[in-house]
Amino acid sequence: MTTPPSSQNPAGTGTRGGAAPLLGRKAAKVDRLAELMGERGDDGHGAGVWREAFLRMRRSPMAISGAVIVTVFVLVALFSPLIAPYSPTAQTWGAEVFPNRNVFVGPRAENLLGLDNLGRDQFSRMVIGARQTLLVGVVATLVGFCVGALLGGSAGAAASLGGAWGRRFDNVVMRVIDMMLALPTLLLAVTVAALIGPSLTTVMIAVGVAQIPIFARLLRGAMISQGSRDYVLAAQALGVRKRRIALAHILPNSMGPVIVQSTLTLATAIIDAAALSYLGLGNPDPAFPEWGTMLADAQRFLSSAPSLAVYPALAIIVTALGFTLLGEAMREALDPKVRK
Amino acid sequence: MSLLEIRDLKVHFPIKRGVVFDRTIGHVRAVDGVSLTIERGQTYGLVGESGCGKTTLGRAVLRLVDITEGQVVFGDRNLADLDTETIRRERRHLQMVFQDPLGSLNPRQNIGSILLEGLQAHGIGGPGEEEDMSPRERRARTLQDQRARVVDALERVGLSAKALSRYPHEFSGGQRQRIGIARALVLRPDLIICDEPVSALDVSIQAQVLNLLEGLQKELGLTYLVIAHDLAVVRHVSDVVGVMYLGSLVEEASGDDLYETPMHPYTRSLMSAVPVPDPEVEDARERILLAGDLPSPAAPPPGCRFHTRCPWRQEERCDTERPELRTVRGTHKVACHYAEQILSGQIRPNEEYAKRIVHGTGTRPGTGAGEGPDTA
Amino acid sequence: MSSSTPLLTVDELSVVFHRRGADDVRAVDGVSFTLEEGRVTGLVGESGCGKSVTSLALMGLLPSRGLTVGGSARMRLPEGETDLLALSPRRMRDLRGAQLAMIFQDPLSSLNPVIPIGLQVTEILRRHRGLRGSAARKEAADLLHRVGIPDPTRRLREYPHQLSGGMRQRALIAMAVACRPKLMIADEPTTALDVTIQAQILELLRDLVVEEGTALLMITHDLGVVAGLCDDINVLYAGRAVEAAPRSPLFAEPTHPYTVGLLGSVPRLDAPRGEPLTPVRGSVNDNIAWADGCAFAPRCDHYTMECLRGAPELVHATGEHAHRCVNPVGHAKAADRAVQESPAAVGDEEARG
Repeated sequence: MTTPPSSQNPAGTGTRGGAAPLLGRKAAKVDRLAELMGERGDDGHGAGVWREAFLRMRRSPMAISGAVIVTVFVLVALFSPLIAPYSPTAQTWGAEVFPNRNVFVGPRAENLLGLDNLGRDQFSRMVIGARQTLLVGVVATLVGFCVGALLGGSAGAAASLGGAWGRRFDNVVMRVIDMMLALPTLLLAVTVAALIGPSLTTVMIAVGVAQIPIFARLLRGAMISQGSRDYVLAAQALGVRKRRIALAHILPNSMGPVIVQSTLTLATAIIDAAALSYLGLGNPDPAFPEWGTMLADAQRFLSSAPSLAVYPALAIIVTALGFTLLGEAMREALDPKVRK
Repeated sequence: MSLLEIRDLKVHFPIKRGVVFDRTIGHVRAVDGVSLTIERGQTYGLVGESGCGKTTLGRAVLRLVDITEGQVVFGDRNLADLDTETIRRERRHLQMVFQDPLGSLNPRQNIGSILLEGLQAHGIGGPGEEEDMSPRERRARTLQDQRARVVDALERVGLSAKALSRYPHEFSGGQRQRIGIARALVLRPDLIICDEPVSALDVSIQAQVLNLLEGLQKELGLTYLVIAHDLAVVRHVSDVVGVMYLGSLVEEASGDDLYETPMHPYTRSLMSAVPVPDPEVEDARERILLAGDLPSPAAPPPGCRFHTRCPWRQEERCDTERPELRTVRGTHKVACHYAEQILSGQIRPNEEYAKRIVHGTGTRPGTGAGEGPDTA
Repeated sequence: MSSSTPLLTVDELSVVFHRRGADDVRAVDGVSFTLEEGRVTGLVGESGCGKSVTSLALMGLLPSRGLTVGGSARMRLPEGETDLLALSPRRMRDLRGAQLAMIFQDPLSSLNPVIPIGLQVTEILRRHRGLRGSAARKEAADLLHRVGIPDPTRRLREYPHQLSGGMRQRALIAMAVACRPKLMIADEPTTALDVTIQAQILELLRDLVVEEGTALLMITHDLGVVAGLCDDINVLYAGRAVEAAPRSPLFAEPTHPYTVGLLGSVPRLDAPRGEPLTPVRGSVNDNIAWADGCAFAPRCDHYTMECLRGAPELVHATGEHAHRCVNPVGHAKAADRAVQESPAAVGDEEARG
């Protein structure tokens, strides 16, 4: 932090003693002061808000556990064909399993998690299922995020910068959002499924649309509160165009809670998707197992082979927990009250 | 010709109620008919307590709030009439320094980007149109020129180019306010409106910033409109001081004049309430303790706005007729029907108020010398 | 005033905050002063000087974990002299309100927003003075009247948000004086208020001290307020008192360079336009640790090699006037003062941006 003052001090180097004892003494004390003040290190040069949040998160146990779970999940999902030892559809051991006689095969050396009711390798199906689950979660969240942010962002920008007309626009958009909020996810999903048939797309659209109002309200609220901050007024006073104020000032400062929300939404999207698949609205193609569908299939054998239900259920819970932990840790790290 | 002339400016904010359709049920008269003139190179200080409309007035000059009525003549144009794009362009000549140094800086922008923003918004800097060069070269030259301007402004406020890549939260309060001043300065404005420029700062830092503002004025010939609640700060920096109460200007005079002979009863009580860091002055000081609180600007009292709290209030006229700001002597203006009579002592404070005026005893109450001062 | 032992003797009070994974922060680093009945003692300083932490420590309002409180604060109580810092939280709760009272800076957040003013005042009367029902209500109305709230019986039924800022602060003062405490601590009681309201509140505090004989510890950054209200003044810097004196000598002949700088920083209403201010340069960020020398040295124009050898002691120069400086203003050796330090020697605050 400190510039060594000796360079600016005319008496800084070597003139002590003799002609100028006074200056020499002065140089000595200046050096000593610089030494005492220089002990403090130069901290966080040019660190932005996100970088600081990252540094704080690195120390939080919550963030670390969340990050580990999420990383494992994403890696498994991405490389599932390489990890899965068998094809998820191959009924290789079909002759060993007789569900109607309550004969199941539990974990063993060749099948880490045993076989399902059709004699397929449960572990392989779980691994491949991770990919489907991730896909549903990410796409549904993206749908909610993009549409919600667009609606909420335009409403928020209009409300904070647009004057009387802007407030009117904001009012209209928010009433539409309110209507969406009143629509239950399940009803929406059933409607979409009725329109285009049960498929992964149905689930993604249904779950995604259900998230739109959350993102929209969140971003709008954040933008309106940022819009009344002094730096926005300062930018206006500077003569910056309104579009730029909205995009370069208000929006980036409002994104924090929205990004936190998207990690949390990923978790709920995974659970919602599982629920919809469970109800039979998911992908019926057995080549693409999904945790929710697996859970639904397993319930018929819940009394004789509970483990078939436990594995996907546990996977859903742990993944959702991972995203929730990460989201909460992020929210905490970005909280201005915690920050110095 | 004066640089800025405000004529009968009114800013009324509607109060809205209603679930589906907003109905306007009244107006907050934040600024209610203010006229003032600022000469080039001068510092005009606007002082008043919270809720008197001084901040709104400052913002109205820049058209950051909607003007209900009146004119803001800057140079030869009426800013109140300009459309949004023209007023946006005009803002390069009028800049603002804010109260909260941290809040007025975008936390996600580094200092370089904060300072460049104004130049980019107005396309200032770079080679002239007539020079022939490729667009790429032009861009590079422009950026180089803008950077030079930014560094120059930073150095003028006592910071170095090293600050450019850092973020607002890495600076101390005083440094942040310097950055806020540099942001205004970089556009080379004619007028800088300083809204409570030092009230968020520590005492020793306040003085540094005040000295900086004065130094810059001498160097660059700037004109300031300083808005503050602290009469001592305003008197220190201003050539002309205007005192506001409940949306209107009640007195205007040169700082020394105002201090020597405050003529409006409100100015007198305000001045008598400002503590001075000197025990001898403090002990001898007469304090006029005003009764009650500021009335709501949504329903200002009729007649003289101050009559509900005025110790010198007279029957009839003060309650019904709103006094105009009139020139009393020289450049001293006051909005009080009875300013001369109060000054000469012809009109004395009312009975009930007289006991609210605490006369300095010259000695400490409690350390001897009789009873403590009595109050209501 | 003439009693042999003061009401409260604070001796070498220190508060150290422990932070995980970082150095300890010595917020208060050996502060000593005394409080006497009917007198006002001032703690003056800028943000971060430890004045508010001092008051919280005396009131026992600091969190119990993550910090260490050292030193002693002996108070003369009916049952004998007691060290406030060593009391159990339970005993301290009984003392607060009854013997000690505090007035905070922000009246709105110090009052419970969902409970009427009257109930908040009567609660104190019930808890500490055992008053019930109509007796408590009458006393509460008297108290509000005493602090200058007009129409007190109506006000008792109102909620904090219905009162203006000045009224809220009056209500808070009424609650503080409800049990006739011997000691009142006011932490920036007028900072959030307008200057005309400030004048009213200061007048009220002055009356309370004179008429009730309360000892008042006034904590503020405003030198003007101090000059008008305080009898004895302690100037704090970086957690230590750097100068302590009765008010007249302090303002007339300040000896510590920091006090001189503070006084030079305040624009005075009675000074002509444009009279230059002579502020302290730099900011508190420049301080060095007291262990290394005078914390103020980096901002001081007159520091010497001696200032950088350990913390200077608090020296009593004349009578009650004490300062913590090896090279006080007005006592400097001419030779050293003759050399004008170039401001760049230490680097102004700004040079380091």
